[in-house]
Amino acid sequence: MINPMDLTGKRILVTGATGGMGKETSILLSKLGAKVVMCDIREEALQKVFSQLSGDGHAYYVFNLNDIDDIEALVKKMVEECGPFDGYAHCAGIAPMRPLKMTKKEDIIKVMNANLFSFIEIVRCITRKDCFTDEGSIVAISSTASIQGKQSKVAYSASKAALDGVIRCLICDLKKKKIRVNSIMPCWVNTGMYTSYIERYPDTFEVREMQEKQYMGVTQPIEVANTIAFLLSDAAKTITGTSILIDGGMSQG
Amino acid sequence: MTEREKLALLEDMLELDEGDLTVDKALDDIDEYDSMAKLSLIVLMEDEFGVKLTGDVIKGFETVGDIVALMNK
Repeated sequence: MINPMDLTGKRILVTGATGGMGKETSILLSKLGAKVVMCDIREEALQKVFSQLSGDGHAYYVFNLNDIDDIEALVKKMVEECGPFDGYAHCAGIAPMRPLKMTKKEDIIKVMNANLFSFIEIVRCITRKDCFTDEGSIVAISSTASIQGKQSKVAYSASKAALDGVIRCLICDLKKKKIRVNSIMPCWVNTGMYTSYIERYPDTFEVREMQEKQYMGVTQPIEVANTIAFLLSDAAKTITGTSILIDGGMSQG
Repeated sequence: MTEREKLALLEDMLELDEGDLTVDKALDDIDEYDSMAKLSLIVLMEDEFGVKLTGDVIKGFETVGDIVALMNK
């Protein structure tokens, strides 16, 4: 029997590792043989996910990705303590809803920091000499909001559209090292973020749209994790600079 | 913050004229109080008063005064 998504021995960084998708991704990667290095702001939750990882050689770091200026030192520390990386999954992010008239510059910067700037800074630092193996793979969680307009999502959509634009530039910058960079674009995923939406914004256009248009049902976190694992694995060896929709038909149906 | 100032915040949010709202006005009688306004209300209450509104709390609002009562400042 073969496993095309085998990640044995590969060291992979996962940010936002305690969120719905980050947690599922970390656990799956460990089951596929990877050494998972998790990063998140919530220490207790990190310990909990850490205890659910299969195999050994894993590590976790408590860090607030909004501290962009400290990312360089964090990456240096991780590489010194764990060794160079073969992959990076950016699962960190926030998805606030804020009507246009209440969206100010500082609100946009907050979202950009969490969803975009931290990603670019990590990629900048982690792809330096001796920190990332050649032909490694980077995957970022984008969103259908990158290509589809949504009410009250100006900052969020901007951050995800920028993210997808950035990955296409990163592959050019990282061409010599043959590092692959891709993103995935989920819509509604069954995470804590999703349930709090339903709770906080009932009867809004967005929730109604989800219930009607994502006709294949809400995406489960494991389905997102599977796609990330695929893109990190050698099964996707020549897939780069692309964004894969995982939206249950939402944007095309 | 006075009651009038709180009403003014809501009038601004709903794009109504100054003085349009009173505490005893029923929310059902305000055309502008739609799903988008409810989302704006969630953001306003969190930004200005640190109050996190849930869907159930919003559903329980009947009058403008019910909202003003949660504006603790």
